[in-house]
Amino acid sequence: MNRIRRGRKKGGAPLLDARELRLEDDLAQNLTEDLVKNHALIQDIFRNCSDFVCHEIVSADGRKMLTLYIEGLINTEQLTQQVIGPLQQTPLPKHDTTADGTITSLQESVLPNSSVKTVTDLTTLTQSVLSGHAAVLAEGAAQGLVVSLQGWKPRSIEDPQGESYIRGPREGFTEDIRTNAILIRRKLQTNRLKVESFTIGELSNTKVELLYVEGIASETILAEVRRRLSRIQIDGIFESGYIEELIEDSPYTPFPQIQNTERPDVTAANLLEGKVAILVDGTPFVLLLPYTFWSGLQSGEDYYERFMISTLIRWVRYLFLFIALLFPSLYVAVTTFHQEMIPTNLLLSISEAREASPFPALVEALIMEVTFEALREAGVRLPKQVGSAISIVGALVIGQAAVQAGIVSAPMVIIVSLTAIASFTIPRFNFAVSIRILRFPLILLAGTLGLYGITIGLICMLIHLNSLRSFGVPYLYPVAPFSMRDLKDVLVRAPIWKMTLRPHSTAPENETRMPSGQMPSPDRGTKPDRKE
Amino acid sequence: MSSDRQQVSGTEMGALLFMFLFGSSFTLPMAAVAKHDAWLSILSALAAGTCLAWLYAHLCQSFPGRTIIEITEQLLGKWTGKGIGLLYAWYSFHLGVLVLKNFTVLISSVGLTKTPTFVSALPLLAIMLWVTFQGIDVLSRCAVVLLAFIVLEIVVSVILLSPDFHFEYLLPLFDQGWRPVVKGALESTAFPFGETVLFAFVLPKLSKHSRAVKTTVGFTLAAGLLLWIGQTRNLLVLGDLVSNLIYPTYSAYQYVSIADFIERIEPMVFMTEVASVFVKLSICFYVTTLALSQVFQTEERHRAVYYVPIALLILEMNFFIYKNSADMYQFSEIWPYYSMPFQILIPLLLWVVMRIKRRTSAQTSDPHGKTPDQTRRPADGTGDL
Repeated sequence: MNRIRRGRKKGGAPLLDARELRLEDDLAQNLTEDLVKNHALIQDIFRNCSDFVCHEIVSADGRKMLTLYIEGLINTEQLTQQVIGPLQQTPLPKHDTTADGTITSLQESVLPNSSVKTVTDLTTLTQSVLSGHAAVLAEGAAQGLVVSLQGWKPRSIEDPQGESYIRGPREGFTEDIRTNAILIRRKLQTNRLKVESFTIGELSNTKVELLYVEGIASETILAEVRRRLSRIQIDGIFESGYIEELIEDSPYTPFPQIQNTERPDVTAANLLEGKVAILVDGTPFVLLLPYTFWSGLQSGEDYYERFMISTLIRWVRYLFLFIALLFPSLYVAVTTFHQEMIPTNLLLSISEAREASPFPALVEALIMEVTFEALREAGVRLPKQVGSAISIVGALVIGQAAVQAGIVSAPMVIIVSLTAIASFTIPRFNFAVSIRILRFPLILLAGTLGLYGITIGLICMLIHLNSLRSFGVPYLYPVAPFSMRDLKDVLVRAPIWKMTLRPHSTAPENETRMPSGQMPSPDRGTKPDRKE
Repeated sequence: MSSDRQQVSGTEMGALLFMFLFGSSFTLPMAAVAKHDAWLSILSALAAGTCLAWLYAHLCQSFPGRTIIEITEQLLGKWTGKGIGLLYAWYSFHLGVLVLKNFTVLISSVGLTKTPTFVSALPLLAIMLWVTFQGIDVLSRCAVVLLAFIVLEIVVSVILLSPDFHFEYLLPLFDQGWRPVVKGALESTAFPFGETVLFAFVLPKLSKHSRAVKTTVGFTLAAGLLLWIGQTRNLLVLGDLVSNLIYPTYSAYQYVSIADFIERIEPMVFMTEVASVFVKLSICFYVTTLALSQVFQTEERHRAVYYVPIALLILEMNFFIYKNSADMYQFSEIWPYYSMPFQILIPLLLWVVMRIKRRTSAQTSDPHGKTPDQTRRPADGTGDL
């Protein structure tokens, strides 16, 4: 009864029904010395699992043994070579034939595989078998051995699809959490890179790892992340998006508060800034936090190109952020309320073009923007072979044909296309989406209150952005709250030798990244420093 | 991590002050009576305003973390404090109504001429309410971002209007005698500089109390200079016409014409005006509700009970405070005298009382040799860390 109550969620159905409860009782038991009884229990736990294999063997000195594994989950060849072969051929040392001694000596002298562990309870045994181990039970021993023999092939490391760079490493994360952690470990070969492991999801038992660099990452943020991760109660986790939604600060906002990336180099660089990474098994998307508004406009490649180029590109992005957000609404406001702002010649051509269009600017803008969003969505979902069809049809809908038919005006087509281009200059997809969504309320405000409406909308956005925090870091940091020091990586991309300090928001305890005065010059090091 | 909630850093406080000074005064004429000598009036008003800002900030710095109501309660007794609190609640409420009124008149005369006042006032009040619910720290961070745009706009406007500058408009000096100049200075001291008395309610939120005076005086000077640049720009473009216009900035912007392409950019004034009025109105509203809650000893978490009623009252007052814009223009001449007690007399009185009390308590040497001034220093010092 107690367990049923524990399993109940507030007002909901019980988490476990009677059958699952019996299973849980099975799992709660320990292994006994009776192999037949163990066998029966395990068969009950894995009943109706046709991929479960329970293999009976006789060891070199005539003892009955069981090997248990899930077919396909482990490497059968290795199983034969490293477990079954030695068990059948190598006799145990004579001096140690007690029950527990058997297991110990099996582990020590018979099985050559290094990752052998003893288990005593069925829960651990079941869990190990399910996560790619083979288990060995021996007659007369109340313990079992599990051997890690992971047998499936993770996808090979490829250039990340969503974040491909012109210059930069060509490796991306895969679905396998071990590969991913190793990719980061290879970039940061230090014992200060810590990996904390969590298992989340009552049924999926997904492995989640928390990575940070000790001494750089802020302890307050780390404690908060640990607390929020351990608070999660859910049946399954299949993508880091689940974790993101379950641990973020403010759920009711279009803005992402946690960054995701497919790139080990981006992850490693962020870890060195004092951020924290969360790896989730089964997805190549690694979470990075805390996150600020400006990270949405930064790309890892900014740090690989020359700093002047990167600065200019950043400015272009800021400009196009405004265009992506405001261009349609400004057009609507200006053509509806403030025609005097348009230069006369331009006004003439716009009014000429708008003559044929039957819709007011507001409706026209909404129709076109929605059509564009639909086209974009269709282009993403369609299989590649049909994808080209969409671009042909799309060019007709948002293009010359629609203008010639007199349904929309030509300036509107240009506005929508420019907005579309602008929204693709934002490097982070989830951030670009939030900007695109906010365009619609702004168009409505512009159509009803003109520039006043747009200003009100922008101030609303500003209030909202300022009220957001990502793990204690204000969302608009370092602009508001203002920090001149950390602006060097937002307003411009300062040269690497100028960025001698880590951001104060994420690494308050250990700020020095490198000694200052490393500006390269042929004389550097040969002449005494001018300042001293 | 949450210690910075509801705390305002020096830069943010400065940005609040900056935006507060720009609210309304960005579009309205300052020292109109002085005509082309207005730039002199504003400069002298800036000097006076800086002294006032020093006075307010000095009061707040001497009593860290306390508003002017609590200071009065400590110096002059509980009931005097409550009376003065009510007076300031009214003053900030009235100022809020005036700010909103100025703005709605601006909208209905040059922006959205067919939109009813109710519709144009409502969005502004809505965002004001929202930001007040979010807290003064959110408002101050908004002010930082908005400030960047205002400064940028003034710099750009000066550049764009520079072909239309007529420096001879500034001369001759004092040709109407010194009386209009002094009158203009008085007017601009009361509006907008003296209105910063409301910061005696906001400064206690400053995270570094010991820097209150430096922050306030520094940013008042900077904001005043920029205001002066803005008003002088109007004067340089429009000349004596400035004193006859209700919205000289708006009119000046109409002169912009670069390559027949960038012209008629005056709706930009409108956008900046919305931003600065938003900050000013929110501060007036914040101070009104804070003063009320301190007078009636409402707990901090219950302060929200005042929000919606006061906001509705502001909206309602907006309809009947003036009969027409001539009435409004008339009142702007009374405003300096009406504001005098709030802006100068009460703070000055408090300052004098504080000086006397401290001197007497220092003379009646208490056994540990600590003056109240010194006992407060440690708390002051820890705020500095």
